[in-house]
Amino acid sequence: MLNKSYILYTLLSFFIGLNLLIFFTLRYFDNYLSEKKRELGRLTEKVNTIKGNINNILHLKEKLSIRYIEEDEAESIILKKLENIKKIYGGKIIEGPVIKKGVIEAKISFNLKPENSKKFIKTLVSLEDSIYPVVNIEKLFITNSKNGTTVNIELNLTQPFYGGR
Amino acid sequence: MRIISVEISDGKIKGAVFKRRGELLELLDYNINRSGKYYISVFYQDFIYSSIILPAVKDEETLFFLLKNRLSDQLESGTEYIILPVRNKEISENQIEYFVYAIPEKLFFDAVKKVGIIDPADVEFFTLSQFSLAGVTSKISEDETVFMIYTDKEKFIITVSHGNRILYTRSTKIPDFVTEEQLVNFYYENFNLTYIYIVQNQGIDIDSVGLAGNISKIKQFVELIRSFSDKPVYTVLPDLFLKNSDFDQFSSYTIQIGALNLSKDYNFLPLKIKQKKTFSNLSRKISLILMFIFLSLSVINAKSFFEVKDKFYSLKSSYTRLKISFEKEIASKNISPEQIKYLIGYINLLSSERKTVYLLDKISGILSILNMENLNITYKDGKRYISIRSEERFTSLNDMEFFKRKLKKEVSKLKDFKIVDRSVFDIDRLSAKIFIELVKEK
Repeated sequence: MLNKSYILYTLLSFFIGLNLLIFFTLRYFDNYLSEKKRELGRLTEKVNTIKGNINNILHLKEKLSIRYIEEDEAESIILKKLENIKKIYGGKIIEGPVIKKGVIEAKISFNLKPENSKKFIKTLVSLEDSIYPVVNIEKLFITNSKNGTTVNIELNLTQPFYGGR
Repeated sequence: MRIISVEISDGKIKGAVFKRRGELLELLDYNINRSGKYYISVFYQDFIYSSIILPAVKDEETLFFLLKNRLSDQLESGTEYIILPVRNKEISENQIEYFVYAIPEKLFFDAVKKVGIIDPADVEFFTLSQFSLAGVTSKISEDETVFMIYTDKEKFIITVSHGNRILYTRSTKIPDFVTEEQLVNFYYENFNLTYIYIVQNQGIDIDSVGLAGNISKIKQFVELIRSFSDKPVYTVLPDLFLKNSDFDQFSSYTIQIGALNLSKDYNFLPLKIKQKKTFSNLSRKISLILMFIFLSLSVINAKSFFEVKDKFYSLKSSYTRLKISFEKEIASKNISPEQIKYLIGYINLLSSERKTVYLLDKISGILSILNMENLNITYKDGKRYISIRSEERFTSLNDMEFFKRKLKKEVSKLKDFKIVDRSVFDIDRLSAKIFIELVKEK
């Protein structure tokens, strides 16, 4: 009788313990799923935004005439641009071309002595309007002195490419 | 729950299986070898009886120790006894009178063995046949002192009781030499002597005389005792005890039925068996509580499991739907995620915000009022750092103040810039050294 009771207690205690473990695991899992549900809500919003953005992207692609450039072509574009800038403005290639994640980059620095601000702005616009490659002015230093205005420009040329390494 | 009531008399076992039906009992059958609660009555004449007065003792162990001490001259050494104290009355404030009965413990274990009970804890009640008779009386009359006579083939029992309290009992075996014809005389002689002894020596006032068992059928005996005692004499009828039963059946099982109605005060169960039973009851209760907790948790868990399962599958299907709709959208645009990534990167690079011309346009208000010496624009870690240096000369204080206000106004127009103005104005020399640092996050 005594042993039977102990066996019964032990078994019941074991199953109660197991049930408690299952209870807390289920509660944990329930909370986890609730969190995932909230995340899915956020993801749905994000997806809807992305859907909208895709249309904008495609619209901008058409507007800016962006083509899918492959790596070899990208390298050729960068080199041509460097040569072209060197021919027009002189200057010095200070980095690259370097292949980074999905882009080829190069940096070139040169000096300008603009005759007036109108011509200077025109030069900047013509540089930054480039799409193949994308040209960004990394550094611009303008000094006004008695001898006139001197401008030092450091350009960052970036050509994204699609696919490749 | 089945109740098995058994009498062991002269080595013979006689019992029946009962079931409680409200106030009454129902005799089910005579198969006593089954599981159930056992009530055992043993016909044992050599029990020890003593009336003992003791100081009020609360502790049960001390009470038993004192009782054992008092009974020591009557107890056989080397024999274990079951001592049963029945509280009779309070003599004084600190003095209590007990009717104390003692029987050898062996009697219990022999009975258990004889009946074939495996676990002694299955015995609910263990008493003497003489006492069980009082169980019949107590149900008939609670306020009267009843002189109850019972006979069967082997024995003659007289038990005098008042309600649940046994006042006196005497029994004798019917000797073999007594013939059928002599039986009435034998009964009458025993009744006569006992009645006189009780009334005269014990000073007990008898209110009525009851008859149970074989004796109740003997009219001659009934007439004799009625005329002798001058008290109401009645025969115990089965209707008060048994459901759907006849008189003969009741007469045959009077002791067994009496045991089922006897006060718990006359339970001779050994202390260790009582403790074991207490433990068993406690175990049963704890088991029930544990079982309840277990079942409740199981139900809660089962409910939670199905809820979680539904939640999981609903979430999974929502995710799948979202994924499919997104993939469909992408497929309809004839564009791959890699292409999107490429285009986003490209478009970001072409952002007008990154153009220096755009930046110069933003700060053109400041530049237009300065006699600028140098301008430095640097792009680093996604931020634009701009520093402007200039030396200004003024014709008058008024001119200087006008310049200050104008510069302040232009600077305040740059909402999305961090601005540090370190410009120094020299009021005596009417000059200023302008040094403005601007930082644009994107």
